[in-house]
Amino acid sequence: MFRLKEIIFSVTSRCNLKCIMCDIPASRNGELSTGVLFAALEDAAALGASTAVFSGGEPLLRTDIFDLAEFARDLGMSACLTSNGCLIDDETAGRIADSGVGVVNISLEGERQVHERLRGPGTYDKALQALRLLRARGVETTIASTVSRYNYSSLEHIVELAGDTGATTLKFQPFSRIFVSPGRNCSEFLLGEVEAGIAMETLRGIHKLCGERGISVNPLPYLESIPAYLSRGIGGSAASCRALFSSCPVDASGKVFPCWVLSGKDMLIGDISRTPLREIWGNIRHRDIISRINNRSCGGCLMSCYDANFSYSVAGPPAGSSGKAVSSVRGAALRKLKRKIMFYAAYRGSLRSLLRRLLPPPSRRASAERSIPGRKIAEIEKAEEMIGKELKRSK
Amino acid sequence: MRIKGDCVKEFKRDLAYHFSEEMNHPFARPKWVYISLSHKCTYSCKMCGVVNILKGYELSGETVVRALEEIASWDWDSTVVLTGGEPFLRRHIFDIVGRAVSAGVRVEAVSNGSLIDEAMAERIVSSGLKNIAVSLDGALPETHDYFRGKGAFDAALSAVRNLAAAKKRFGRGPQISVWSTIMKENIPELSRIPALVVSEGAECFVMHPVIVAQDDMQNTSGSAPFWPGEKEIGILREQIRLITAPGGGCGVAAFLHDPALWADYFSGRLERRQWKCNPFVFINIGPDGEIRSCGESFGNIKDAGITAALFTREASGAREKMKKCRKPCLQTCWAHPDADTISGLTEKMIASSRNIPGRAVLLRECLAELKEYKTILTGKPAYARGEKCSD
Repeated sequence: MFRLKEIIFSVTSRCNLKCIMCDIPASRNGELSTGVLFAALEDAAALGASTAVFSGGEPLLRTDIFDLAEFARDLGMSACLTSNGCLIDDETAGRIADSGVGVVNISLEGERQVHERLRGPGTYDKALQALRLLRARGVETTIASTVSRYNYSSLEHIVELAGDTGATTLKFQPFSRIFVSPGRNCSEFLLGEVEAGIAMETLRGIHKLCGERGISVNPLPYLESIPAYLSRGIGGSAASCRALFSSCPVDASGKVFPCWVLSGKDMLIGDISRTPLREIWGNIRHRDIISRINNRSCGGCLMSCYDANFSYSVAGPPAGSSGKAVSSVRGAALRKLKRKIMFYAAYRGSLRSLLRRLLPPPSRRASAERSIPGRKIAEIEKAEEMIGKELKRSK
Repeated sequence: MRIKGDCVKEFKRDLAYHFSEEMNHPFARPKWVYISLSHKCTYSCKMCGVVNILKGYELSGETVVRALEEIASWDWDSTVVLTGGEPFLRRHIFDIVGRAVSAGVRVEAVSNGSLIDEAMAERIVSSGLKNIAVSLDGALPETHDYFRGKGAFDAALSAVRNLAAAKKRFGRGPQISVWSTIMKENIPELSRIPALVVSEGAECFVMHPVIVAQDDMQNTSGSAPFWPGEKEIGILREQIRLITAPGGGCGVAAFLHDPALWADYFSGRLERRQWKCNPFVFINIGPDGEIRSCGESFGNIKDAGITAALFTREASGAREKMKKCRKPCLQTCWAHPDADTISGLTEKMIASSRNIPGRAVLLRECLAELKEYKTILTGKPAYARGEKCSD
């Protein structure tokens, strides 16, 4: 049940910007030492994680961020960085490329005035420059947008920007209360009924546009649920949340919660600054919390990690839930592949990027090949041939 | 001289280890079984934490003998190593050794030498042990005593001396070995140990790098105690050169793996392809009876026995974890990566079977063994039902 695929670190809560929809920097959550993060990365790799996400705050404020990325790459994971782009000059872009970061996720909120109103003056040009510099270095870039009342009508502009800067993917996510201080009035970010209608049209248009231009974007059903979430607070539930079992969020102080939204005291699974991750992930407390969430369900959310569920609704229920025992390893592998294809088809990415994602990274590929019986049989046949030759010679 | 059929036996074993590892199924049985009789010890050495773990636990003689009989029934030439704590603190150790020998198991023991006086040496020599290893962590008394306590150096050397004398008197007896743990403090004198121990009568000298803490094998950061820094690693390279030079090992130095790896190990540069630990080669039984290959325990000898434990789901999970381990430890259970491919094993077998009369029969036997694995791979997964192993 617990198959760790992705580990997400909030490596710092510090930030160089003060965006109006985010109060994380004010939380002053402290930071984990490099050693603790190294150990957690090792544990994550051992648990089977294939992706390490470094988020924040602004992760580039940490001086050791490149070491972390390099370490993750050496462990065979693909490293992903989430940044506002303002600290990425030519030199930093070079270092990002050298340290083996696979994807850099830059936040863009819309047109210049919208973006700068949300994030501060001068940030728009810097973010675009960061996208271009990274692209020039051959680093894959993606654009993340927080959909809110401020920018719901200027989202189409982001598709243009993605085309201009060579970003491969657009990730939309509705504004969420978890990024602001508790008790703050959030009505300025939420949509009215009419606005929700416009947002719906815009998002559908964006999905179509992205399809035409070969840019990956969240699945359509996910995009279509954003307006209702922002206007009426209806979100997805835990019953179908795959991220709950496969993604491990670690906050800046090292606390591990089942997900970013469920971060109350009673949901604390462990603290990686005290206990190694390998002893936290999948332990009794973790299982207990997950079963509690499943029994009571959660408040619902539409965080970007939730969008993966829609692909499952396209592909049918995941294997195992039908109650039939897995008949063979090959069958299970085929079903997994089919699910992956359906999942990425929902994104309508280019064939090349689709293939790149489907194939496991080189180190994993090697171990997968080793376990294929066919390969072993070929090896045995080679050995038999060698002995056969020797037999002939001795005659 | 090579006995006819030896190379086939070896080939079959190697194949079994290879396929066991590849398919995570115990076709093979452990080559090494370490049994810790209790963690009680005469010393409390600075680099060893076992005395503080499982205090008060002790395996009963009956349990150990039952395990030994099971090991004998494998017919796998497994070696049992009695460890501790200090195994000779156990009054009944010679009964245990006697039972093992009569069951046909090869038994060895590891000691710090503190209890081996002349009388004990005579009992050891006549007990049927195949190897007795005495720990020595320096060529100078100060160094060894720094780790182990005052007088430990003299005790270890006199143990070797007593054993050698008793062996000479009896005209038979175990191989007398000296084991050294490579640590920051003793690196400069490593190359002087072989000459020292040879003069006392030792016949084998083995070195292995320190593991930082018994309960936390993964902590190998530079700040850990006994862990050499850059400067000491430089000296270690020089010492390795001296020991591996002709005559440097005095004819007794034996290497479990390429000593050039030690420096890489300590500097953290040992890569995954350079080392390999086959989870099937080694098991350790603690004083509480828990069975481990490394890390997690997957059974208890007081329950269903060792063989049954090897087939459990817990064992399979523990082995999966070991496969993913990225911290090499270069301990005695470490396996050579040249057993990595079937063709490599076949080449080795072909080379070693040259000049043996009636070679064709042996080669055909090897072919049959390969064919058997092929059937397992192509046909229904019989290995999953444990058919091949129910011998």
